[in-house]
Amino acid sequence: MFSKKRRADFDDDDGYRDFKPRIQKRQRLPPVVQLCKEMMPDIRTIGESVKAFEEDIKFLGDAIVNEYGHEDYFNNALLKTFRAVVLEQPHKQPAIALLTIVVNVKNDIAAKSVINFFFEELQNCCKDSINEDFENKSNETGPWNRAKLILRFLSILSPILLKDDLMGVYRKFFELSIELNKSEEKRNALSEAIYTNTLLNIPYLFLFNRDDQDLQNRVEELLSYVESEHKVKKTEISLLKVFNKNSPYESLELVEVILPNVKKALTNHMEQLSNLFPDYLHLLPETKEDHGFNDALELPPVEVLKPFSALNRGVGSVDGIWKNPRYAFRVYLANPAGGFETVVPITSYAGQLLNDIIIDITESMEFNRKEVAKQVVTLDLFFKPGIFAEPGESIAQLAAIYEENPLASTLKIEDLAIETILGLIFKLPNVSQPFAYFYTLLVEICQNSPKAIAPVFGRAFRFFYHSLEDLDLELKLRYLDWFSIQMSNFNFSWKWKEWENDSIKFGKTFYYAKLNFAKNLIRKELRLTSNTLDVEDSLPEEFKQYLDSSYIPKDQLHDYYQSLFTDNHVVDTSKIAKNSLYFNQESVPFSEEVRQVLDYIHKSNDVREVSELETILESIKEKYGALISDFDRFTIVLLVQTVVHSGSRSLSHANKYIGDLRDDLNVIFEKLQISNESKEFIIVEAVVRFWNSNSQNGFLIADAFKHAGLIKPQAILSFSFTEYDNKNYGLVDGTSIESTFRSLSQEADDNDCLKFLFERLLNITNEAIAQLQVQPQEVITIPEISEEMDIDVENELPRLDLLWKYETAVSFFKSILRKYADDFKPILPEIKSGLGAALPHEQTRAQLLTWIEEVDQI
Amino acid sequence: MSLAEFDEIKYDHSTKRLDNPSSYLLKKARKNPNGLDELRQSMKSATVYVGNLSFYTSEEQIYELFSKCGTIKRIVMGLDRFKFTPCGFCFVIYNKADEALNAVKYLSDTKLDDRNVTIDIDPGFEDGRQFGRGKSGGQVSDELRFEYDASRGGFAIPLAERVGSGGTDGSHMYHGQKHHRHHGGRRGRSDYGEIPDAMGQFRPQEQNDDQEEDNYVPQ
Repeated sequence: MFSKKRRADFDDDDGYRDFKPRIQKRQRLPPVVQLCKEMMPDIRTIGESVKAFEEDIKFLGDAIVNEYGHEDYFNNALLKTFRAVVLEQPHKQPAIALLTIVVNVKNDIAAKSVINFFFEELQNCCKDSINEDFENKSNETGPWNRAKLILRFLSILSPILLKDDLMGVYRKFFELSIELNKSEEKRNALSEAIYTNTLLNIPYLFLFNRDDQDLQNRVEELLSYVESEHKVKKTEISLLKVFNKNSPYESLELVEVILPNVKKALTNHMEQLSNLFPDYLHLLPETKEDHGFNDALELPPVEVLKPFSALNRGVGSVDGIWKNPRYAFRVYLANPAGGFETVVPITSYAGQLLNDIIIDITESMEFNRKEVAKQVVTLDLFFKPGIFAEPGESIAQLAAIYEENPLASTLKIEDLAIETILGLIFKLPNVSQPFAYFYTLLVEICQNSPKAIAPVFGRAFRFFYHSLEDLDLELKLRYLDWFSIQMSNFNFSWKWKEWENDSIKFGKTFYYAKLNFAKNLIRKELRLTSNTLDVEDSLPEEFKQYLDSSYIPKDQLHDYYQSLFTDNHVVDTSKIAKNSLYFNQESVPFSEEVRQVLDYIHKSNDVREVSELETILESIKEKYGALISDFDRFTIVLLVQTVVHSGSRSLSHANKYIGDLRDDLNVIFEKLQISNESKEFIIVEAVVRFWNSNSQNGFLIADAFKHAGLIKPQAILSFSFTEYDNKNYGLVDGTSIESTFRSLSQEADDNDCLKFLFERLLNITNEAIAQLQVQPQEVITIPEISEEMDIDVENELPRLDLLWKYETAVSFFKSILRKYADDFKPILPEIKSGLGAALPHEQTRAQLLTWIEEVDQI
Repeated sequence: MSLAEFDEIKYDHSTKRLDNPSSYLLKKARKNPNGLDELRQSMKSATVYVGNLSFYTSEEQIYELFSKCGTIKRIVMGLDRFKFTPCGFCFVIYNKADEALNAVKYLSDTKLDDRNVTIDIDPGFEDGRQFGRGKSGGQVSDELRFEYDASRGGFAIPLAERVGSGGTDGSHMYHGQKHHRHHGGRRGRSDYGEIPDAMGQFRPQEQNDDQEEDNYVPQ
């Protein structure tokens, strides 16, 4: 047996047989790597379990004391982990600082290394801020925001830091902010950022150092210096306002509330701080201020910094938000019934700090929305218990609690987190991350605890719905997007019934914001699902009428096809099928020839000869010319619709056929005796009429014609804003508005498009004013619609509808001036000089001029 | 095989990134001599693979959702290679690589047509990869699926064949719970250039004998 085994072992040609274990050997990590792998996640999650916190600090502290300084791998892993937590999860900073202070007692080299590391990081932030080649990653919040967070961390370490060193850094930041602020008449973005950020950090100096009188005196002195030297410049830019009129809350800038907030927080023996932060003092060892910074912090000189100080060149998400004035954003207003707040007011230090922390978490961890979703709604664990009401409490429960005890907390962490994230979604002029991130982040938050969160979303949906008449046009689209994605993730269930009255009352209007929102929402939901029954079932009877997603009504569509023919051919409405070609129906006399056109289109590229197509067209003209009203127009419609029909299976198919047939179409269209402008208009019209029941596809395919060079973007705009039967779809239809913004964004460097749309909107506005029979000096007032209002449908609705049309057209100006501000700048002088003649109505002109003036400020 | 930076334990962030290759991709790359290069290529490409779609989800629906992450250049629907009907996956090709990573970060595991879509980085679309590689023409994952799934063709294999036959299909199914997906495994079949016309006259190529599983179940 022995020999047999030996023989088997040596039997192979290549000598001794390799021993291949059936299971691969498990890889053993070096002990230090294994230690880090187990320990660092504990640091990252520190404080998430309030019960285990004390033990965690003890165990982690001991481990760091023992391990730090032996192996570079451990040292680096620890410092990097500290940095990651400090920058990405700032609510855990007190815990990390406490850990450092605890470590300092037994291993002051480790603590000093932490301080050195962060100081160096702070210095690097300053360098990054003037680096032309700064690499702006999506999770980068910006060098100044990082500097804020590092300074905050160092401030918490104040018990072990030399006061002179720490206060020196504060003074430098304030001096820089003051100097930048003084360097120009108007607001300086960076100055505002540094001023607000640095002030926000000051209370953290006292987190573990509440009784240090000397520190208090120094801070007091510093604050009075800042107060006297730094003049806050309030900037009201109406272009950036969330509401066009009737804002439900007062406009406040973060920069104006920060100093009063901080001062209040420090008064009265810092009572506010004691009420805000958890009591970690019993865990704090006896400390000594014995660490200093190795070098003095070098901030960039103002003259070097100046070109970067507008924060307008890819500087990171949060720094970038400071480019424009930062206005407080609100959704959850004080409860109208009980008068209690559910969100910590921004006019308190706690409110401003929590808002800042949620934004930092959301922006810096955009690479993991699941973690963000978890952290922002459990933020209360990192603050003093009792600040917030129990998670998930309903408004009714809170109202009852409040009535019983007006001192009990009615603040909801869910409200605060969601309001802050919504603030990022509704930020003007642009958002800091792609919309998808914010939308799916909110979906994630809701999925984690639907029972608690769904009602919170519901209140936000209602808030925006009620403000739709006043909401900025672009924000209406964002609201629509968010709502539809939320719905598609939650079976489209929504209490439509509560909006039913709006439909009953205003169902006949065309420009009423709330009704258009509902229509656009239903259509968007239909586009997001292949099971339309889900959407249908979610709707009450009143809203089912909007399930028909036709762009124009059937009779109008019939008129369109009839207009191609003389009286000798009557178009049968029943033959105009959904997203299908009319011309190849049996009832059409030349359907056989149309089939030949379709066969031609299906031929492969190398065998197609355009002369063949021309022959077919000639034969139609010869035999059926008498039926057709305008053969040139007919030719375009026929060819465009047959191509679109051939590619009707999907967008890719459409693209392929348009690409394949482009040259042929060009050859034929060039020979037609028709202006280019009309030709292009007819093309777009033919496409969107074909796709009448799915105009989103229609506009996307019109885009494909544009990309193929067959039409200019102006043709799409021209089509969108042409009125049919006094109805301007370009102002209200979601797919059309999206297409308009798509066209403008794709043609950003060509301001012909902007000019074209501006002029078109001027015409629409002037016509509406004329129809309203308003004199140039007369003021137009849009009545507020309330539920109790009794409206005389016959007499009042037409005028109201006109007023809404006027209002929508004007709000379109606001959106495009803001969204394409940079592209508008070169043509604004020309627009401005001609506005007197182009827009006689004074009130409207004044409004437009205000916005035009503001374009330079954003 | 070591996957260099993809195997490294990193301490740069306080939580893991969602725009990393899935564990399936990592497993597959380890077996492939060019695996590391392909992974690196995937991180820089503007293409993503989208799985677990309903057969009824249209290109337009995908457009509606995925356009929120960036500008879409092209959507390539995954088709049953015999029937040319959607078989539950697609490739979305963006203009920029960042936008593709955004889709992985922000959209994976969200619902489209009431299904949680799975999204993975991808080295780039090549002709031929739009076809399902299961025996029946669809995705292998569906053939290994035991449960009834209405929006993915019901039962993939009739019950009788799956239980009593004792054939290769059955045994394969019960023991084949390995989660693999092909990734560029079927290269060089460039004759797929023409998109089938609306009437579906497109002729399939001869069946490839590559029987690698293409089951994609993210772990």
